[in-house]
Amino acid sequence: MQDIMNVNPGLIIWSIINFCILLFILSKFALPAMKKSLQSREEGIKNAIDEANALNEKAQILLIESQGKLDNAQKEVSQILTTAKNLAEQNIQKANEEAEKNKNQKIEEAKREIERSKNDAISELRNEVADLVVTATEKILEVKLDKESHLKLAKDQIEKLPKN
Amino acid sequence: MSATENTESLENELNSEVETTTHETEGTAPKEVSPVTQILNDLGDHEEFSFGPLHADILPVILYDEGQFHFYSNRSSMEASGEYVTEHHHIVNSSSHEAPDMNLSITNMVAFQWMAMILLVILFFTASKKAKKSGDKAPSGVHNFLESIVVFIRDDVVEPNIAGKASVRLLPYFIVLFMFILVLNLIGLLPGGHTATGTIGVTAALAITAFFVINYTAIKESGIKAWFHHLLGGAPILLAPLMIPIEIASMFIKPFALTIRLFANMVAGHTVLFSLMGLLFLFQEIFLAVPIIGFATFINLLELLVAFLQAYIFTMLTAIFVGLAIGEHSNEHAH
Repeated sequence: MQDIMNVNPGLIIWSIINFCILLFILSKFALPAMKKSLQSREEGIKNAIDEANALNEKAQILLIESQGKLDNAQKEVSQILTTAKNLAEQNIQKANEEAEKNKNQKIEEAKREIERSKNDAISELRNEVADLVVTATEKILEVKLDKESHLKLAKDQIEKLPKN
Repeated sequence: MSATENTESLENELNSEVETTTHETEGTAPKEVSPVTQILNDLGDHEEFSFGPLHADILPVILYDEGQFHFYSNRSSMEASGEYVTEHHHIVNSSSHEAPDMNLSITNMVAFQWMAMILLVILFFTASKKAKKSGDKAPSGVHNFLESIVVFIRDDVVEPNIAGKASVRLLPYFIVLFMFILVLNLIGLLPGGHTATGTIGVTAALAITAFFVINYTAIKESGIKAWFHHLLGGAPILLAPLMIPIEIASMFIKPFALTIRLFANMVAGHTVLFSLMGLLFLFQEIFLAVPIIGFATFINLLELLVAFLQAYIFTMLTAIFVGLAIGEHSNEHAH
């Protein structure tokens, strides 16, 4: 057990000297350059991240803005659409109504025309029939009668006929 | 080194071994060499450089004795000078048979530290060169690897524990501390490598530097008055006779715990590995090799984990102690 548990003062002194030399050399000549490059890189990365964050925020704001604009536009479009639809419906309704009215009017007119024509035809027919009856009666009876009284007689007979 | 030198050094070693055994037989009680002492000797520090089967008597011996420094280029030249000899693996004065006042020799573990230092300097300088070139671009290779460690030490070890400017000033210390322990641990895991962090001397040295860092930072950050006030531990002044010894003890126990923790963790794994390998020689059964090698591989992987873990724990605890030393002072200011 002689070597391992023995604390050799020489070894302690040499180890301290070695460690101090190593510490001096590395911290004086090697570490500053590493530290500098590390720091500059870290700063660069931090700046890049900050920049990216700022840009992201800006983009977010823009996105929200444009989304709002889009929403507004959509709303406007739907509003326009509904008004147009309403207008169209109104127009259609109006047109329909007008058409109906026109139709009814036309029908009415036609009806009236028919009525008038019918009445005309009836009266004409009546006159014709009266004439015919007079001539026929003149010819058949060959009785000289006063034309006027005969016509009156015939007309009375016709009046008794049913209207149509 | 050339083969002839190698054989020469082996011869020297054999000769010294023969000498020591003759010494032992001549001595009063023959010393028993158990496998345990063998293992523990292998784990410990030596005067000669060894890496696996390679043993080389190339490390200088520096002795301080009776107010005078003695330099020898290696152990055999020391023996040749006749002033000092090696007895039972210890250097003693040839005439008085007493150890010198202080043995400042470059030992095996110091050489391994130098290997780690050279490796670290090469790695960090490569990374530094790349850092200067790369600018704002992403790091690559060694630079990337070391930078990830630097960032890890900064973000997970130093900054959560140490408040304020001290964390910036102490960052190089913690990076170097972590890398030094880690590389020493990993070199110890190489086949034939020795674990410098598995000797109390090295871990004690690291803990002593930690002790100074802790107290220096505390005094610098909060002032000497607060540091003395801290010795009360926040208790009323009446408890001073009780608190001051406790606080002073805790000041020294912290680095002591660091020393023992790292040392014991590194030695334990190697001891288990050596013991497993020793079983092979004890039983001399070829079939036993399969489970033993499997288990040894497992332990080796475990040691790999421990190497990283202990480097982290040592660094982390030092950071926590520094943070406590500063933090408590700033609390005291608030009272």
